[in-house]
Amino acid sequence: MAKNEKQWSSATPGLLIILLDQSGSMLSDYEGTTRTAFASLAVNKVIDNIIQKNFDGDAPKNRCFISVIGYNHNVKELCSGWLKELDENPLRYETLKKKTPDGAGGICEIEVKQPVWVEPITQDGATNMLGALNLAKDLASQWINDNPDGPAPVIINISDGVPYYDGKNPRVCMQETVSLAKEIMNMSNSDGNVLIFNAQIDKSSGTVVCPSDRNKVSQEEAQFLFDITSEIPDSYKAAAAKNELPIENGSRGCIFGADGVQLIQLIDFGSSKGQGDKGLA
Amino acid sequence: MKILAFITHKKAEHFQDCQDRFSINCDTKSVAVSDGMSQSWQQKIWAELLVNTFCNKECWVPNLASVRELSPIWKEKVEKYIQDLKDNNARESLIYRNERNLAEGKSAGATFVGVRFNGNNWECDVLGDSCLVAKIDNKYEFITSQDIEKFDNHPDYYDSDCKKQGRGELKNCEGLLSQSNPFVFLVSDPFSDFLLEHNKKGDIEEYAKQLLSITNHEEFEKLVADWRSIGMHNDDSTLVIIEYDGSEEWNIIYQDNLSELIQVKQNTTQMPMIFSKEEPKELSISQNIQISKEEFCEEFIKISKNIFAISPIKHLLCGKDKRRKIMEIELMHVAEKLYDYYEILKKN
Repeated sequence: MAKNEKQWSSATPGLLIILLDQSGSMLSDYEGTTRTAFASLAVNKVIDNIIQKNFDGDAPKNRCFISVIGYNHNVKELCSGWLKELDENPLRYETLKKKTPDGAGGICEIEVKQPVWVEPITQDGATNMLGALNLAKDLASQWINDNPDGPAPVIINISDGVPYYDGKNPRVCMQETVSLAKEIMNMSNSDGNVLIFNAQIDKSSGTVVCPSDRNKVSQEEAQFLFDITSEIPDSYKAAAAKNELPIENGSRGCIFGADGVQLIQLIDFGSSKGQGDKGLA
Repeated sequence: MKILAFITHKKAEHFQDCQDRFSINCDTKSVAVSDGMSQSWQQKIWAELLVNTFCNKECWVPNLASVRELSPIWKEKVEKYIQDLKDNNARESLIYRNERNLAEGKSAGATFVGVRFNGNNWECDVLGDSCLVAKIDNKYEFITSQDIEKFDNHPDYYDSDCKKQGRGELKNCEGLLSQSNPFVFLVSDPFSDFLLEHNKKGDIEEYAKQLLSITNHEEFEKLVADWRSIGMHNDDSTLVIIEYDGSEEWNIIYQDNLSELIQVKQNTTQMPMIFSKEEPKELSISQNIQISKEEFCEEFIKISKNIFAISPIKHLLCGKDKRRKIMEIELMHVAEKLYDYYEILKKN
């Protein structure tokens, strides 16, 4: 049985698709900012980190193709490309404050550059998660056709709620979305099945990390996200430990009520196939 | 003795991406191979520094203390590299990423194998999964610092940061090149793994013969491609052959020059399809058209690429590089027709 063990490499590149909820509710406050600003920054940091990890001094190695798809009532490609292309074409650079040890036992604040590929939203909209997953399915399907022996694609969905589109009843939207997500999770190549991981940007269920039991989250929205999440393959366990994600048998790759660190850990974990090649101690 | 040295890059990459380095010095009778580690930074500079120091300084022995002394030299070279980028107005991201790694104290890691000769006697120092393979009395010895059964993605290595330990302990070994011990190979890990596997299977002799029959880079590339197709792992691959020929004199029969290979490849390889988000330049067709056919076609392709840049995922959906290449050829035909059309207009 295929186990999702293939590492990303230049000869066997990976596909990482990030679906980003850009519905109106993402304008709500969260962790001292808005949900949309919080999620966008996390995505920018993760893209930046993946490029940095694959950067040898001259250029990043093209070990993966990243596509970020935003969804409100529409589904929109926010940025896509091989690592080299993304590295060369951020929308802009912004300056962030970062706390760092001052070398004398204290903490000081320094300014660091942050490339920006994804901007937060400013306008209200619906939640066409189904449309985003449909596009992700097309992408993953084409990728698998072209790379039958490469690493299986990974999809990471960042959302604060349940799908809502075309004025349909949210429960119908959820059923349709679960059904599509299951189709995607059943797609496979020789490496294994397509993986879907989820992060919920909402603290109503408290913070729950990689649960193995659906009942560990009580909120209906959270249970829906649990249903559209893949079980973590054994081959990802070392990466989970490295990212301090507590997992057990049957754990699913989802986080509810994620803080900034956890959200980055989850996405980082989802892209961990790009980090296994000849690392330093 | 006869010396031949070959190097190539991973499949799907280029020579400029190659993180292996080797050095040969006939004066000090030294040869070294180093494999810069993928998930480290500026590993090419580090690997080059290690092999050059070993080969150029006759008394230099690579141990933790002596390697630590190279640390500031590596840092100086990296800082100069970054300064050169700034002086040459390099891309912002290139400067940003190097400065970020420098500020965060990121370092390079590299494996090492070096051999020095005194007459036909040799002494070898090795750290990591680069290794020396010697034929001794019809048997093959694999000299490496690691348990050969435990080659994995975390080999022993020297770290370019003097505050970091690296991993593993240097192994030292001696031997003699003679009629009954006719050659040694210095190799990076794809060859180490592959030859080791065939040593276990008992058919290594056949593969060693293939290595000894190579005389130039093209033959080496063919052998690497063939071996990759039968299980040698896809990584930068370096091979140095030192073969007994009855003489103590060093005779370099052939050695690859990595700088030249990088240059040749850059001059002959087409630019990869990169989705640039530069604003398309306007192509003005004035009455006095001062543009060659080639310039016009190149401009057309550049504009087309900018148009494609609008949606890379649409490209992904409609196919991979092969299909894009076909599209590029078709566009070239369109461009040529357009050119002919403007030519006619100009004449009229």
